[in-house]
Amino acid sequence: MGAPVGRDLPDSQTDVVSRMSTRWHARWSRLVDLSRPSRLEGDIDDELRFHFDEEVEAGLARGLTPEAARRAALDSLGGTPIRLREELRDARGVSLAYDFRRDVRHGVRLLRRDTGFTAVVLCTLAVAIGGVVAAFSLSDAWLFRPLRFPEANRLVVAFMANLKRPTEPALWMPYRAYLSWKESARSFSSVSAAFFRGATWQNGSDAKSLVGMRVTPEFFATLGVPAFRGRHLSANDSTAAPAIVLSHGFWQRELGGAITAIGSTITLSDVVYDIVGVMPPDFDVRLLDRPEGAAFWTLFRPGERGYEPGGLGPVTLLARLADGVTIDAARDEAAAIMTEAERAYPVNFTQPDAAGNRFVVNLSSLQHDNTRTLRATLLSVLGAALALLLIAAMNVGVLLLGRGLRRRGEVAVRHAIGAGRARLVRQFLTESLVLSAAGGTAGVALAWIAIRLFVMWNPLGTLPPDGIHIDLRALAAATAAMVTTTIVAGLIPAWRVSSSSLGASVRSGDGHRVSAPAQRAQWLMLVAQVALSTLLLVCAALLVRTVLQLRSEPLGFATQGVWAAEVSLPVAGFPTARARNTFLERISAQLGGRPAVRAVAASTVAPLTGSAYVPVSLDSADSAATPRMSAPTITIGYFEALDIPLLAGRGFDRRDTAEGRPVVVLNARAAAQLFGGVDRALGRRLRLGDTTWREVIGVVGNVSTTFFNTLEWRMDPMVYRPAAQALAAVDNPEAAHVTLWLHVRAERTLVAEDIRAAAASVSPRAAVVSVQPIAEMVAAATRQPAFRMLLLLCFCAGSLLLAAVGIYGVVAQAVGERLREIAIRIALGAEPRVLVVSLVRSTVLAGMAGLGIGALLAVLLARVLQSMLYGVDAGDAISLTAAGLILLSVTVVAAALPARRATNGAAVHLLKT
Amino acid sequence: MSKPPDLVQGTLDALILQTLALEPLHGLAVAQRLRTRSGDVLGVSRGSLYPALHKLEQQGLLRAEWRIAESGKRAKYYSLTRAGRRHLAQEQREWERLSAAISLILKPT
Repeated sequence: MGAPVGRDLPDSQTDVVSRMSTRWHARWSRLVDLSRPSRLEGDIDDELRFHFDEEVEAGLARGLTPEAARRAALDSLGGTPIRLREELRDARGVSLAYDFRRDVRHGVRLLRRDTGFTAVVLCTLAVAIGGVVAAFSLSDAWLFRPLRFPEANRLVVAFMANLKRPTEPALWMPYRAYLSWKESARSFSSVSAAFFRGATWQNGSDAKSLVGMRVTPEFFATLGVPAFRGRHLSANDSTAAPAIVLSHGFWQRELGGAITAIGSTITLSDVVYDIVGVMPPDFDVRLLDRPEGAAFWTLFRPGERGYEPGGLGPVTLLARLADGVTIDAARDEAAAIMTEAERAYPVNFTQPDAAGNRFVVNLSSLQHDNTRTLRATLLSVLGAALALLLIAAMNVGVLLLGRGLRRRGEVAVRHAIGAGRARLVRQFLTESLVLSAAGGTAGVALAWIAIRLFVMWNPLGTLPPDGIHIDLRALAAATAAMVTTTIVAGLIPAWRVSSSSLGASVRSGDGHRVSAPAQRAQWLMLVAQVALSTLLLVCAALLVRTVLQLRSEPLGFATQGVWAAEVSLPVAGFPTARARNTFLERISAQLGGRPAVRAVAASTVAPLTGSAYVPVSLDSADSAATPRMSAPTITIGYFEALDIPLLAGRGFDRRDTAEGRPVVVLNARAAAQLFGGVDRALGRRLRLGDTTWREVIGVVGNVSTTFFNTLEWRMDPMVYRPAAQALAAVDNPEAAHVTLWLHVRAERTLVAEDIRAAAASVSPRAAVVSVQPIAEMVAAATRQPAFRMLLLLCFCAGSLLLAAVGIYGVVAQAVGERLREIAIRIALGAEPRVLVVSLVRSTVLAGMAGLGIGALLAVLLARVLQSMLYGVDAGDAISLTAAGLILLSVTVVAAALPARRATNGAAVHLLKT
Repeated sequence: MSKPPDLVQGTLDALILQTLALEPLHGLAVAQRLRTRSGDVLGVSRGSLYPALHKLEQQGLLRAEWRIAESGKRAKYYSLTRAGRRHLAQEQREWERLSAAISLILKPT
């Protein structure tokens, strides 16, 4: 149909008003037509019928036979009424919209009739789209959406990393590096230092443990965020009265958001601070993927040990890159400056430590730092979701292809009575769109639910600072992928059917035979599906092995029945070692006397972590090669309470008083490293960074610790000191916290309130900050790998199910086509088993091919997972074999089911009827 | 499917408009007029008349109403709208211009 003539006329000759009214008229009549399609149809029919009737009468009047008159009338109309009607509707321009409505209704009707098929396709679409959207929205919230700071991509964080793993932070930076960078680095427009500082906030009888940050005065300027109320900390505050800036959350939660709070004071760990400002609600500086940011910020105080020129106090350096400087360039410059500055000190970071570890500067973007351990989890989930989407797309493709081919009969009939190819294609297209639209909607709903559940469940133990939102880009992309699939798979049959020699198909009654190319396409999709499923399954198997390994690893101490209570002993209330020791003795006695408690002890280390490292020397001079080891302080009975085995000598007892001979107990690792063996350590002497010689009186088993949430258990060398001798040496406010370890009898229960009450009765100044079972903390340490495993298992189950459905569908279709043949062959005495084999052979072959390709892919790609694996290699044969066996059995079962059903009577039944 | 060679698209439109310029007619009558008036030279291809009528109505050049025909049956009568008349005048001018130009070429003096 060409363009209307009027459009070709030069503008000057047409009247603008008339053009407008013409257009208005056109629109109005289309509107009328659309709203009443049936009236339109009626009108068209009436008009054509009038023409037809008149012509028939005229023909009869001319003396024609009724039959000839009818034929002449039809001839004068110029086509079958159906085709003419379609053409007229086309001419009115309503047919697209109108056909669409009709096709939608037709499609919905067909889909509702075919409930099983529809349910499978819709579920597949919904799960795939929902999975991708949820996974991408999660990843986006952490990894892709910039942090809420001005030009956040220029914010970088520095740590020290072991040269062997330069991308993993291993140590804090020394404070003096901050001074040297601030002085000479050109790569940064601003450099600041920060360090976590815990504090206890005593609010009446209730004590809260807060995490805050000590920072340098440039901290806020570096981040580029103004104060919400009041002001930032300035350099002047470091010499004036202690000043503090609060987080919005703390201010709201604990101080009721009162504006009068600014200018008042707050006492944290016995230090009185002036509140000078509050930061905005979205100011959330996190370090090292900690689940939350600081509650408050204070300045490093002059005279604080380690935070003076040349000081080795631990900090992270938070800096803003200067314009046009890349992270790599900045890292090179900063590392060079640090190396140069370090040379001035006899013991410095350019030398390797005792274990031969060399340390390098680790500089990463703040966002990268915040998502260090999450990144692998999120990306693996995203990868799995994408794989599932691909599998689902192929599955839907397989199903739609099969269904479309089954409908050859319907299509052929419609073609024969006058539906053009474009019309048929349009109808199939509409049906595909109906499916995708419904699937997409369900997918969004699913993603929404998944995200809500994720937030409620919080499986990673951390949530992004500014929430998780459904990502529209992901939704658009996933939906587009599925729409494309459904359209392509939906159209192929319409296209082929309407283009090939249809008449033959209708006449022969053989409208069900599947064409070879379509079958090949199905076969290829099956192979790809199984390959992807194999890949997912291998990855899941590797993660399962990792978690099993992590869970089964002996930690070296009792985890069942042991509780850890963190107790704060403020310096003001417990100024001397004697005061602390007395408190620990008395509370131990008090709790130990309870029937529920089997043993109780205390230590200065938090559960599952090592303590601060101290140099351990065997001679009178410290050197760069002096090993540094974790040196926890423990009370008598610690080893018994935690079931840590004594390997040689004895543990601490009443003889080891402050006045007695200084003693230590080593763990096996330290004994081996220092003296070459457990037996050789007893009676030997060592120094712990001071001038006191301490004698080794015993060796105990190793215990595992974790480090910065990394996926491994470490068995570090440890030097235990008795609390009676060591607590006096501690002046670090951090050490105001001690951990009480309670081994509870299985049949009795002990509640946190008992511990709080006991602490309060011994001293009102002591505050129990938290009480947790160790088993729970161990579970928390393996939470990320477990979550990864769980998610991947879910995706695997999904992909297996889809693959099974796809395989089942293809075989069922093949069986349906050959039912008659099968029946005849059975009637002629064919062995059903042989028939089954012949039916499933090509499908099982596809499965095996997919399995091979998938295994190959897994061997190549699983390397990406290496950082998420523990105690298992990426090429792990057990995982590969397990995945292969599972997939093979799924393939065989899914293929054999429909084939068995056919040979078990369905076919014979067909012949009988 | 094979159709008889069409009248140049647009020419049919002009002919229909011209036919309807005198009086409102139904589709069958338009077909008959076109056949008789052109002396059967311009056989309006069967099957293209009604689509053309509907298209012109859609464009606002024709309006349609249901009336009782001479035979006593309900029939759909088409008549020109103002825009249709204007369009026809334009078509005629255009045609005259074109035919004048063609005669100039075909009849050299």
